[in-house]
Amino acid sequence: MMKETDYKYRNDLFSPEELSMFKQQLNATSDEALEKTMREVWMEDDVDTSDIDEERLRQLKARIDGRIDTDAAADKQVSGRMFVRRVWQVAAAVLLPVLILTTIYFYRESRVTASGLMVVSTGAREKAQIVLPDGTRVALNADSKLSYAPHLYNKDARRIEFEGEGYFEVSKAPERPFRIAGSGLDVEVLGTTFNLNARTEQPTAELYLEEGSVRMASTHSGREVVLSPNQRAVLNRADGSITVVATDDEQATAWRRDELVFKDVPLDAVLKQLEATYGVAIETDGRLAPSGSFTGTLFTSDLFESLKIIEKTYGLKTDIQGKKIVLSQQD
Amino acid sequence: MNEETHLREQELIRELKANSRKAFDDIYRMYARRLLAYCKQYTKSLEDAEEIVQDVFVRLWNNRSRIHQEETLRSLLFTMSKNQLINAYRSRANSPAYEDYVECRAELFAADTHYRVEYEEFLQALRRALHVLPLTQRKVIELTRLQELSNKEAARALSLSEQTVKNQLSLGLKALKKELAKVIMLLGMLLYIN
Repeated sequence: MMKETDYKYRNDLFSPEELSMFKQQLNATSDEALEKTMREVWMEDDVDTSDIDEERLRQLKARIDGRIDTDAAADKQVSGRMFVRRVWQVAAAVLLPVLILTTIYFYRESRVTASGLMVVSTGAREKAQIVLPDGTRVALNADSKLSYAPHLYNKDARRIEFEGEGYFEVSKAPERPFRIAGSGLDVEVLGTTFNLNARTEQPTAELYLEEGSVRMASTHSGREVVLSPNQRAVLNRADGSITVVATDDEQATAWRRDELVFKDVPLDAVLKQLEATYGVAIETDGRLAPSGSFTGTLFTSDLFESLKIIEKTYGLKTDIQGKKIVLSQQD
Repeated sequence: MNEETHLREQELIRELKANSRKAFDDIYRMYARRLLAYCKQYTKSLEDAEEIVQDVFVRLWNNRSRIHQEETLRSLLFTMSKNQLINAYRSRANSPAYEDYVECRAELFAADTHYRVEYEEFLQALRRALHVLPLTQRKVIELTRLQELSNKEAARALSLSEQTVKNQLSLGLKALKKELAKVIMLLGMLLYIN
């Protein structure tokens, strides 16, 4: 990357035509070459700092101090009473392959357990994005938990334990397979993108493969399948059988777009899903018996828009009473 | 870097390695402003830049024992920022919203260099302007330009045909440009007065 081009990008000086050429050039430039130019700029050039606000710098420092203190508390928890010195060294080794986190949830929800496992979890209606030490990205849906041992991860294999739903972008490293142990299932990949929905309380676990190749096995029956892109494997927990169907990603990854996608789902099941998503109670008027199943997309970030769609589809009206919503037939 | 600064940095690194929080605070005071401004030039977003700087300084403290005494702080901070920064840089430069920003600038300010609307201000104006559009056009633009779905994905998400999405998008963008011009002019004038 030329330094002039870099300068123009940094200062927003491109015309639309130049931008499109720049993008092609950027996408053909290796990280190393990019890094070289960026390092030169950082080491040698003047950087205009006039629009950086002193107050925001202070707040940023406060957040940094907060995180350092939280990490220090986690260190202590790991070290326990005996072998303080030795455990301190181990704790440092455990904590150093630092997780890079992109959401606030991590700071609240991740912790190092007494056994030295790194655990990241989300609560109801929370999502989180994490990057593992090898660059693998995982988007966690609500009520999900991922754990791994930082001092072992990425040594010869990349092993994690997982429960819940997540969208995985596994970085390519064929010599170090990425293995997920879930309840009743085992997944092995080399480098690929997929959505895994494996909640213990549900009768089935599902893996939808977007790119690459994945092996999924039932620990119960020992059956295993190898998936190709755009296939979905459904594991039946009761008997350990696995079926593979061709599919598209609409439903599997809807949660990432803040959507709820339904195909031929009875209305009461749709309402249950809305209740769970928004933490509200939805009641139907006693006389109401809307028949017919629902097919369409609702939103996990806009309750009113979602209700409006239900209203229109079934000719209903909604009455919101605090956290309770009552559906009744339109007059 | 002059000799005096160099010695001072060597001293700071020594103290940092000896667990001095004060040395850490001094390093933040010396470099955070410049690092933040630098990251923002690539990410175009103050929040994204802050996230990178935050992570770098937390790692600087957590990894203090492994810092090489001979390294300069300036070079060390770059090394610690670069991976996240390069990712953020690539994704911003390739984002449809940045393309819209560049186009909008070219159209609105070709003849006018009095004021500069920054990318973040543009995004705010865009969000405000979106509200006047019909619902479908708004949804199509949100999905394709801000959430960066493909037309096909957006079509699926909205249960529309791909052609409808294309039509709505082109109508929406046209209407949006008019509206944006109004919002930005207003914003620009405010900035100018200030």
